[in-house]
Amino acid sequence: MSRPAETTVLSMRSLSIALPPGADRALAVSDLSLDLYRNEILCVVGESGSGKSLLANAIMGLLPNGVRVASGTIDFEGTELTTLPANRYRKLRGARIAMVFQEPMTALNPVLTVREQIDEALVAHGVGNAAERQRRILELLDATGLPDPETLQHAYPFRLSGGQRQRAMIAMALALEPDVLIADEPTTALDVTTQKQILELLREIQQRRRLGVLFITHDFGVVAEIADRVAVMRLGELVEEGPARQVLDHPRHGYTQKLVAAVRGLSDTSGAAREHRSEPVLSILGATKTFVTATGGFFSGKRRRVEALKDVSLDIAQGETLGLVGESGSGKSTLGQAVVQLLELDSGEIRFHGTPIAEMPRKERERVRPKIQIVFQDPFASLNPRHRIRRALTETQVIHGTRRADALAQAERMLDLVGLDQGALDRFPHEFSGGQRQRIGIARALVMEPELIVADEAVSALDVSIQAQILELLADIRDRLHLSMLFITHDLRVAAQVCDRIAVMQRGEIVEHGNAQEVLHAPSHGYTRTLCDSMPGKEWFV
Amino acid sequence: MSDFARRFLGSRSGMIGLVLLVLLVLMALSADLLYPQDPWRMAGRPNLPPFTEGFLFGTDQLGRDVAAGIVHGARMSLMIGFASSVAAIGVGVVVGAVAGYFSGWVDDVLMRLTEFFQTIPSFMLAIVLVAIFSPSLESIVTAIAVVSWPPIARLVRAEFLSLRQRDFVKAARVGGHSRTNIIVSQILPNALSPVIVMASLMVATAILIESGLSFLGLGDRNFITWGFMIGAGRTMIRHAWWLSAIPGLAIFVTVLALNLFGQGLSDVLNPRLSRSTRT
Repeated sequence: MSRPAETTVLSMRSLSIALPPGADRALAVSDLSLDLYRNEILCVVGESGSGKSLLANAIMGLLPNGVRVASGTIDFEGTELTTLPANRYRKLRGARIAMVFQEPMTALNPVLTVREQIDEALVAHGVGNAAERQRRILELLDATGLPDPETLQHAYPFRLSGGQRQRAMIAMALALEPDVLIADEPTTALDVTTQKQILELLREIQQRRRLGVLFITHDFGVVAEIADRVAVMRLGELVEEGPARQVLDHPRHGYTQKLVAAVRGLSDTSGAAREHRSEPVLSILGATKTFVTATGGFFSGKRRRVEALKDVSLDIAQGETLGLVGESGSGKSTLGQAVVQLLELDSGEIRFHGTPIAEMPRKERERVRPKIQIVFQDPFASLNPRHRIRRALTETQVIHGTRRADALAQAERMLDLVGLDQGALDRFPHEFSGGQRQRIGIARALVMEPELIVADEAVSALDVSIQAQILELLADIRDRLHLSMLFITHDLRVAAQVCDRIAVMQRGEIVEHGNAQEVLHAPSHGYTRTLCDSMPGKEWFV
Repeated sequence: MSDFARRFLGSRSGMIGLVLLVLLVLMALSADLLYPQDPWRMAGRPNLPPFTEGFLFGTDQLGRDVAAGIVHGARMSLMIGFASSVAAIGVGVVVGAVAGYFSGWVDDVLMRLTEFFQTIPSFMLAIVLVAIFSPSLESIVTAIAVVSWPPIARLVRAEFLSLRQRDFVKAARVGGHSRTNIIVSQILPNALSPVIVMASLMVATAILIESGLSFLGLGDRNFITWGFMIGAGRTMIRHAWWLSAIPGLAIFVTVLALNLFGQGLSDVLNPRLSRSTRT
């Protein structure tokens, strides 16, 4: 798919970007040489800390304080960017090189309407009169597939959905017809179905306008979906570069092979899906929850009702892993929180070994509660930053009456089980990496000897290679300790790897429920089919 | 902790503030050694200018040693500053923590109460309280505490509102920890950094309020204070300027030291503002 005949628009030669003293390493990007051609999508792939985002910022001249280009050149159609004065850079930025950010809610100004924000860019670069600008704005909104541009242009960002915001963001980036578009993880914050639409939109616009797109991502699925060429970065170094097909199907560098294998591993479902016929450990019967929030001030009396759960019923057998899959707002996390008793249901009940938890006497409830534990999504928020690991792992045990020495011995056993050594006990959470913290989070859940673990997006915040390790660890622990697991995720690929059964949720309801293999390969409900089709890079790895 | 100390040592304003504060505290502690006699006692001829033989800062209109007053006054000012701040922080933290953790109607009630105190000009309220309860050490400390706790309560409430949503708090709830345990040992330690910074600035404000009260004649007459000295000296300002200027300078240095110290603490405890962001 590469087009060597096309001319180079952006050319980096021996580029090094220096981090401030005291950072993890001296150079965020070291000795990188890379070309971007007209009319292509070049994906820069890497895990967190690979320097890919700083590379984008360096091209835009937006490096944060203390970070600077140490050596090398960035050539944009004959203009040297690294030494360009600020006033000339301003003319270039937005007009010739535009950028789309990861989080459209923070990238858009919340107090300006969509029209005002695009208009501002046009005015700043002195484009036409008011009537002409208005025509352009409508054209752009229409081109990015936003419904009813006439009305929508007057909307504020918070009125738009995530996908619409990203479309508005893209419209803004295209306003001055740039030659180069830099997209920094533009679909990472979006749901899969929306992601698919945005990727299609970017591809279509790129081809129509013959843009050079530098697309930064961590997801090889997205790469397979959209890239013409791929550049793989690791710890600031370019480890591999080439046409997309070649890199994806025949990666040469060991690191690329590892990353590709991690993604392919996710789609390998042969090991999963076992039958379980024992009595259910946990039953959810007719769970219903409606959130009511006041809007428009104290006295207005206006209420917004969100039905998070509508009559949801599920069983989880001993040793079984049930996947709960859905997009944001589907109610899957609400259900998870209800299971661990973090919130009360409006109606319906949750039974533990056949007894409704809500009806248990207080003593009994206190005894049962720690048997259902939770592992959270964000390993940086789930551990108290002021407590040493020793305390994080023993405190709850001591509260439930375990002797301090026994609690410590248990903590040591569980640390060992999750693959960390005893030295971890005396350290604080900030001294660990994200993957290690997630292991500690799992150990904290395990010290109480639970029967059921709710894993709420437990691997979503981790890099793919770490993700694979944690998934393996969870599956291993589940088998060894005969645990049941409620695995909540937005990612069908992840669910397919660890789950025996999958329940798909949409707007508070379970729309499909069955054996993992069947749900994934022969979905019966329309929504499940859409979800499956939206998996980025589906053709490539299935 | 060593990391904390190292970073604080690296903060110049914090170190200047700390050194000044240590000197002030040493001065206050050694008041009875430096000037063993009663500072109210007439020691020499009245209105002697500074640097007269035997009187470093001169004497006032009744022949009292100004230097003795400054040294003994430091004791009062610092004591009232610290005591009232401790009381204000105690009340503020409890109110803020309860409001922030429980939210809902508890929060509504406590915050309306806080706003009630905030809408009254604080110095006026302090004057009224001291006047009603007659000027004494206890009533002054109480009055200053009563007018200073609302900002602390609001700050702690805001911290609690965001911290209570964190996963580690949810984990503690799943683990069956009691509410008291969650508030005191899970959330509070994470909310304290801004409170500590605010506290150091609050001591400075308390010293200023106390000086203001003493200046107006609402100080405790058993103890000499800087504010009283300024108030007593103001009628003589054209003949003996130092009677007002020297205690004024003492207040200025103390408040400056506390502010510098607070700024140093803030730099160290809010790493997001001082350290460059990582990518």
